[in-house]
Amino acid sequence: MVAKSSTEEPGFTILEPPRSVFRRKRFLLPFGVSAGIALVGVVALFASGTVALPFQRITVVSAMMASKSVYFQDPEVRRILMANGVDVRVTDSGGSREIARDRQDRVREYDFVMPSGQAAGELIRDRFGGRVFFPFASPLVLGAFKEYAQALEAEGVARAQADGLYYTLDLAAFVKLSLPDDGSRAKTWNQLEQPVDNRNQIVAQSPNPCDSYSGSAWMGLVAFAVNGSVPPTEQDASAVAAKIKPVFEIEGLHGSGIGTTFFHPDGRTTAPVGVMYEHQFMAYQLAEVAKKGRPDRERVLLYPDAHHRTEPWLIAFSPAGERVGELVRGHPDLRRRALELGFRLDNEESTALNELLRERGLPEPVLSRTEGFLPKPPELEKMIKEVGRCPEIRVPI
Amino acid sequence: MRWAALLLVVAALAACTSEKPERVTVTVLASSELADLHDVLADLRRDTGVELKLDHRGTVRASEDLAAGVDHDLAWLSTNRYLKLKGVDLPPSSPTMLSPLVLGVKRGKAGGLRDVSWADVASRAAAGELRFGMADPRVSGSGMAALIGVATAAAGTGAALRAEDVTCDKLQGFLTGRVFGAPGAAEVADEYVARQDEVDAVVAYESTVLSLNASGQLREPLEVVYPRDGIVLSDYPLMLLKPDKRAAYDRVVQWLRTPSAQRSIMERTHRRPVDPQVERTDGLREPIGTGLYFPGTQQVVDTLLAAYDRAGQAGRVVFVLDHSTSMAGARIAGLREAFATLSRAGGFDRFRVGETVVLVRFAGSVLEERTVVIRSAADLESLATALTTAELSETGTAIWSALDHAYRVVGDGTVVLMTDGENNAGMSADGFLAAWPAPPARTYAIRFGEADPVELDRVARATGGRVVDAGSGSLLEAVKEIRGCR
Repeated sequence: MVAKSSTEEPGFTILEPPRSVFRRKRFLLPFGVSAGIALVGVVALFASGTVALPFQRITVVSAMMASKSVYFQDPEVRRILMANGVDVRVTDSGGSREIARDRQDRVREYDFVMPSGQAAGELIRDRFGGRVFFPFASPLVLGAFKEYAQALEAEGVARAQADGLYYTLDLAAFVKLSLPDDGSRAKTWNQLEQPVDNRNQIVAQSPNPCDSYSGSAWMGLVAFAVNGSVPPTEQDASAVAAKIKPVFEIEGLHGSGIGTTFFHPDGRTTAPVGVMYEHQFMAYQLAEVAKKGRPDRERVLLYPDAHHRTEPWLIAFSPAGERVGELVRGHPDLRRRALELGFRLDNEESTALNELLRERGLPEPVLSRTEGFLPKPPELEKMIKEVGRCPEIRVPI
Repeated sequence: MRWAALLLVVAALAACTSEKPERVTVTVLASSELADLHDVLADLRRDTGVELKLDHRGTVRASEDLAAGVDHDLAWLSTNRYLKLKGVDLPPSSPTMLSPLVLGVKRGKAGGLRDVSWADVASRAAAGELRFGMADPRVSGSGMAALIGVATAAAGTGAALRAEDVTCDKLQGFLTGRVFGAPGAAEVADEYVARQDEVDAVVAYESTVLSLNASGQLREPLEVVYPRDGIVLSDYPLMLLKPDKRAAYDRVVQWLRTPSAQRSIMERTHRRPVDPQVERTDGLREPIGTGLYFPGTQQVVDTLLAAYDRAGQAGRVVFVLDHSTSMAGARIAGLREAFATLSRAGGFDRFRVGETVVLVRFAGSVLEERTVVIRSAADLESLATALTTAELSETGTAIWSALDHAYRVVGDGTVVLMTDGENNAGMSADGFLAAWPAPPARTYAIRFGEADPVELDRVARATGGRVVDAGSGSLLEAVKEIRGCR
């Protein structure tokens, strides 16, 4: 028997292979979009130097300073330093002269310190050594609320510069309001020709000359003005100090951080006229212009006609500190940022701040060409001690 | 495949979250009112890992303890001024928030007090129109700030208060209004809630007053009154006492100064942010007036506390008033005006509730003795008009006999003699001095016209008092100059 068999040919159907999950439309579109965004992000991070951060060793650098901490706490400065592998951690010393006093005997444990001015810088360098960098400068000025400046102008003691945001102050005449020639009591703000509603005696409120650079430099300027535009010498330092002491007793207990509190909403209460640095005022006004499109005209600046340019010194005690000194001194982005924070750069770029102010729509101030000379360090110390009743800082001479 | 993707996501997320901050506990010597930071400190612990254990004390007391040496890691006081006055090296210090010293006055009483000076406050307190609670200045910064505010305004120099400016107790009028005290700024708020029906106001920080209003515990809301001639602003510095806690200190300061922490402090405790960029809530936008120049020496604080300690004593003053005919015209008119002013206004120098005023009128002999114990506004009014109808007499001028009479009624008070003539009746100066070899009361003399300055001066000085010449200025000013001195 022959089995009949019939065998059907097997039929093959060729199926399309399943599409890879990666090539499906449902996947491709969101992936493409996300990848695009990520790419843009990476490019942006590269440009800012941030992407390299996790792969770069960040050096933590410790520093101590007073008012110049605004610079190292500025987010933009921090970012640029980070991109260069440096994270600066700042400890507030209270005042620049406190660094020299070194109450906890730990100054050299910091990688660097940054006193606000040269006289305090010299004290520290001479006591602790270190490598000094001179990154920028800022004149010593008075911040004032508008009606106080106008009252001083009506009194013939101040003169408004072209735009009214800055004034030139006749320092000798101003000090005379606090220290009348005839030995009478100081005038009060409400006794002026154009009175201000304030029964306090007229004085520029200042930080304590014992602790702070601005306080001590202001005392030096007042002494210069009272002493007929001559800095007191070894012979007459004590006598001049005794003479100007009443000016510094009007305020009683000195406040600290006027350069900060002046710009608070309660600034009129804490110090309507106070000693500060130009950079504090300019940084504030540049920020106001950026935010509101115009400067704050309630707060004005008085430039004394005896000019004192303060130079913060960056004194490095370690290679890490020196690295920061080199960056701050030389990195173009950091220098640019210093300008935007109101500092003046050294003589090579002495007009840079003015240019920036003009660019941002702020008036350019006119500074006095007369320098107010401070007494030599031993005399200055002697006078500070006499005026401020403070613990002595050893002057290594 | 799916698991792999999930794992990838989890790994990526884990990489993004920062590692948990190291947990640290630090001890803090803190002003008593900082107990209200409880919730803020919980957030601080969550975000930074730093737990602050606060040990509460009044700011003045805490500053004394700090100067003597404490075992805390940090200090957080309403101000570091009292510590500065101790002359110790100030530890690293960062302001964290602001609050001015104010008066919280019941809405019904606040009407005339909107734009006040310390003198107005003192005047109302002396008249019994403003009764308040305030913290003990020996312990609390808010109590001491109030004393300094009143005394600086009373001295009226426009400069920081010096010890010699506190010679006359111009604080007495103000302190007449003090109904209750409390050890600290926090306790004064609790005490106010408990005794709110007895008083009109509380002297405290703005934050305390606003928090009281928000507490729902007050039957009548308080209005914040800023004494515009002398604001004392507290800035609550956080201070590092132990250098080895620096890392934790820096972390806490950094956190406290972030805008979100500043906002949280403002919303929870009604203190003003120190960060000018943080938008303030409505009640905290108010401009607060002229700041006070704070005294520069510890001696001033000590002098004020001595004056404060004397404030509880009932005052008694005997006025010995010349009513001989030579006083006719401007002199008697000036005398009457002085009494009217001192009874009705007169700021820091006015007559005050709790005080006893004895008027001894004399000419050739004592004409009248009249005692007014001041308990109310009606008593003050009777004193204001006590001299308006008093007649002058032609019988001579018996200065020493009148003073002899005053010494018999003075008790532990002071004597103020006013005369314009030479003694021509009764006891002689020598006789008087023989009768009173140890005079029982400090004696001031106000002279005008022909009165013999030498003899008056001899007697006044023997008692520790002095002679004030009314010839050169107004009688009122002369009376004010010696009022309240003991």
